Amino acid sequence: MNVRDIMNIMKFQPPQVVGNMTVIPITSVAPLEGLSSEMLIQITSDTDYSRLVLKNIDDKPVIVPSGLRFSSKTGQDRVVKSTSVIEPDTEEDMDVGCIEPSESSHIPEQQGDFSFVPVRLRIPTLDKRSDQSCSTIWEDIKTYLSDAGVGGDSVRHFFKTFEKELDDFVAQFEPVPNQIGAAVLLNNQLVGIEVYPNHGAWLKVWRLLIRDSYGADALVLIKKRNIIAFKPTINLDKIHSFADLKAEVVQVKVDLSSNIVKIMDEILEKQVTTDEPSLSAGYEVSTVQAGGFTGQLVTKDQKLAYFSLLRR
Amino acid sequence: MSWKDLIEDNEKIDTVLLSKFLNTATTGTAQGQYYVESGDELAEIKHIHAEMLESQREVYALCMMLPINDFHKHGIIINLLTKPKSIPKEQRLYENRIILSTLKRMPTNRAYKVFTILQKNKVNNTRSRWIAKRFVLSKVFKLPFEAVKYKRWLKNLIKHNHLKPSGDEQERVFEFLFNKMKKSVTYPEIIQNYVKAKTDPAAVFKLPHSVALGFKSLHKIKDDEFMQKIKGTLTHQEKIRVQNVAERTGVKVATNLASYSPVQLLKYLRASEKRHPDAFNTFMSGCQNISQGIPLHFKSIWVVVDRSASMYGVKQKKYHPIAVAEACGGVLAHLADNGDDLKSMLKEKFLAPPSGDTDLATPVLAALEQNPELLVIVSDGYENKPAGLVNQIINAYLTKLHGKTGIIHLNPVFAPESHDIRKLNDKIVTMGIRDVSQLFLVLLIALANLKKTKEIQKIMKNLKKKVAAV
Repeated sequence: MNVRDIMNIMKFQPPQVVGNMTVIPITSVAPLEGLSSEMLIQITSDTDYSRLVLKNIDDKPVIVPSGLRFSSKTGQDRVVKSTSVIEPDTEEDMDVGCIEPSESSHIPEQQGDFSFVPVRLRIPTLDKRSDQSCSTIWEDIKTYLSDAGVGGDSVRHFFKTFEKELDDFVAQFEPVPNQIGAAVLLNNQLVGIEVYPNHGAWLKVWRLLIRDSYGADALVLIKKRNIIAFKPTINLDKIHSFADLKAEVVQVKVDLSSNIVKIMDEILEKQVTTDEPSLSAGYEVSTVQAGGFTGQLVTKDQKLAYFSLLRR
Repeated sequence: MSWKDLIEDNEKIDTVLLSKFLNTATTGTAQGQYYVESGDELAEIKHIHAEMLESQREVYALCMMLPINDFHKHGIIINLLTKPKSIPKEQRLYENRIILSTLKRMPTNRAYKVFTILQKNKVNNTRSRWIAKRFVLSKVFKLPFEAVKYKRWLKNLIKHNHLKPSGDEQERVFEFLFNKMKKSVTYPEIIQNYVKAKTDPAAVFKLPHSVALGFKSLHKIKDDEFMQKIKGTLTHQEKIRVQNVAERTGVKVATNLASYSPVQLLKYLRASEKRHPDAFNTFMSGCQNISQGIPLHFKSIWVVVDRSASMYGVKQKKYHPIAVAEACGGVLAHLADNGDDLKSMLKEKFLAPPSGDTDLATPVLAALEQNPELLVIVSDGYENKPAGLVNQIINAYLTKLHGKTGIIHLNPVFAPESHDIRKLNDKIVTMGIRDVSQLFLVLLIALANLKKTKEIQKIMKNLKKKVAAV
C-alpha cells in the first residue's frame, strides 16, 4: 500500500502560496459524516500530569488527534500522545505529555482550549507515545525554543512570544468547498498531510493547524533565516503586449502547479507500513511510516476517518 | 489671497495633504487598533487635522459635506470653533452654515458629543453660543422628544450656552429639564408620558425605544411583552436593530427591505433564511439612490469583487466585507456607460456565499484586457493563489505596457498585523472603506492621488452648491 492508495478518493486542489508556506487543499466528495463535525471535547478531570480525562459532548464519535494541545490560564498545558476516537457522551482517560514544565497546577474541570503543538514537536510526541512519563518531550521543547531564538522551556512561551507573527500566517490561507484536509509545504518541501473525516471537522481545526502547527515551524525557519520559497515570477523582459502578459501569468500558474505535482507525486508513491492497529470506539488506529514520514491512520470498514503524515 | 480664491485657483489645493486627510477621516477612529494605542492614533489624527486647518481651512470645512466618519466631523467643528483665527466675517458666516448643517445631519447624540467636548475645552463664545442656539431651538429640532431621549446631554448644552426658551413649548421643555414642572400647566404629550411611565407601565410604550428600555426593568416587563407592545413605535433603524431580539422572543417585527441601506440589506439577506424575490432590484435601487449623490460619470468601469472565504468577515460583523464589496459594485454600475454589464455580473453572483481561495489575478487580468477607464478591486487584500501575483500583473501593466486604466483598490477590512489595510500593489491607490456611502469620498481620494485637480475642483464647486442649498 502506498500513500496514494490511502488517499484514493481525495483530490488535491490548486495551491495557496504565501511566503515560504504552501497549502494544498485536499477535498472529498464522499466525507465520513458519521463522525463529529464539531470537535466538541471537554476536559472533565485532570489529576495526574501524564493523564487527562476528556469527554466527547457531541452526539457523534469525535477524533482526538495526536499533537492536540490543551491549555488553560492556570493549569499545566498538555499534548495528546496518540490519536483516539471517543464515543458520544463518553469520557476517555488519555495519555498526555506535559509541555509547560514550570507549571505545577492542573487544568480546572470543563476549562481549557485546544490547538496543536508545532509539527516538529508532534513527531517526538508520537514517537514517545508509550513512555508514561509526563516529561517526555521537554528536551525537544527546549531545542525547539532555542532554534526559534527564544528562551524558556514551555510551548506556551513560544506562542506568547510569536502571537502576532503567527496571526499573519493564518490570515492569508482560506478553506475551499468540500475541503477535508491539506498538504503543507514549507521551504518548498512537503512537511505534512492532514486529513479529517469531513468538512465540518476540518473547519474546526484548519486555522489551528495552519497557525500553531505549520505556521510555528515556518516561523522558526524564518527566524533561522532559512527561507526558500518557490515563487515563479512574471518575466518583464518578455512583455511587449497584453497577450504577452496573459501568457506570462499562465506560465506562472503552470510552473507553480507542475512543481507541486512533482513534489506530491513523490510522496504519494511512498510505500506505507503500519503497526498493529488498536481499536478505539470501533475504529482502527494505527501508526504509519512512509519513507522519512510518520503519522497515524484511523479507519473503519476500510474507510478513512483520519490521516496524518509528518516529515521527520 | 482671500478664502474664496483657494477654491477658485486649483493650484492651491494641496492634493497630497487632502488625500492623507481623507484617508484618515475614513478609517481612523481614535479608538485604538490592534497594534496602536488609542493615544498614539489620536495624536496622529490631531496632527493631520491641525495641518488641514492651517493650510487649507476652506477645503477642511467643506470636508464636512463629505461622508467622512462623524468622529472627524466632530474634530473639524471643534477646531473651527476653537481656532477662529482672523478670518473674514464672510468666511466665518460661511463656516457657521456648514457647521450648523452638519450638526443637523448628524445623529443628535453625536451632535451632543460635539457640544460636550466644546464644554470640556471651555469653548464658550458668541459664535459657539449662536450655533448652539440655532441648533437646539430651530424648528426642525424636536425639542420635547430630544428632552426625553437625551435629557442629561440637552440640559448640559442649554446650561453651558446660556440658552433661553422662546415660546410656550420651549418654556415647558426647559421646566421639565430643570425639574421645575408645574401642576397647573399642560406639557407636551411625550413629556407627560415620560412622567407617567415612572408609575404606569402602559405609558412606557409611548416612549422612544431606548427610553422605554430604561423603564422595562423598573416595571419587570418580560421581553416578549415588551417587544410586542413597543414594535409599533420603532423607527426603521430600530426595527433593523431589534430583529435578533424579535426572533428570539417570537415577535414579528416587519421591516421594509427598501428602508435598508445596500450594505445592511445584503448582510440581512445573507443571514436570513427567507428568500425575497425582488431583493436584487431593491438592492440596485438602493445603490442608485447613493449614486445620485456622486457627481461623477465614467465611460467604463470594471469591478473585481473578491468573493473568497475571508470576505465573510468575523462573527461579530459577519458578511460585512462582501456586502461592502457588492454594494460598491452596485453603485459603480450607476456611474458608468457600461452599467448594464456590471449589473449582470452582480446579479449572476448575487448573495452567493463567500468561499474558497483568493485568485484575484484571473479577474484583474480579464478586467484590464477590457481597457476600462477605471478598474476598482474590492478585496481584503489577502491574496493566496499565489500571493503577490496581482502585484506583478499591475507592475507589468503599468511599467511595461504603460496602461492607462486608473486602478483603485478598496479595502473594507483593517489588517492589524499590517498596521493598516492590506495593499495589493504600491503603485495604485488603496483606500479603506467601511460603507458604500463613503464611495464618493474614496473616489475623490483616488482623483486626488491621480492629481486630477480639475475633477476635484468640479466636485468642490458641486459641494458649494449644496452648501448654498442648505
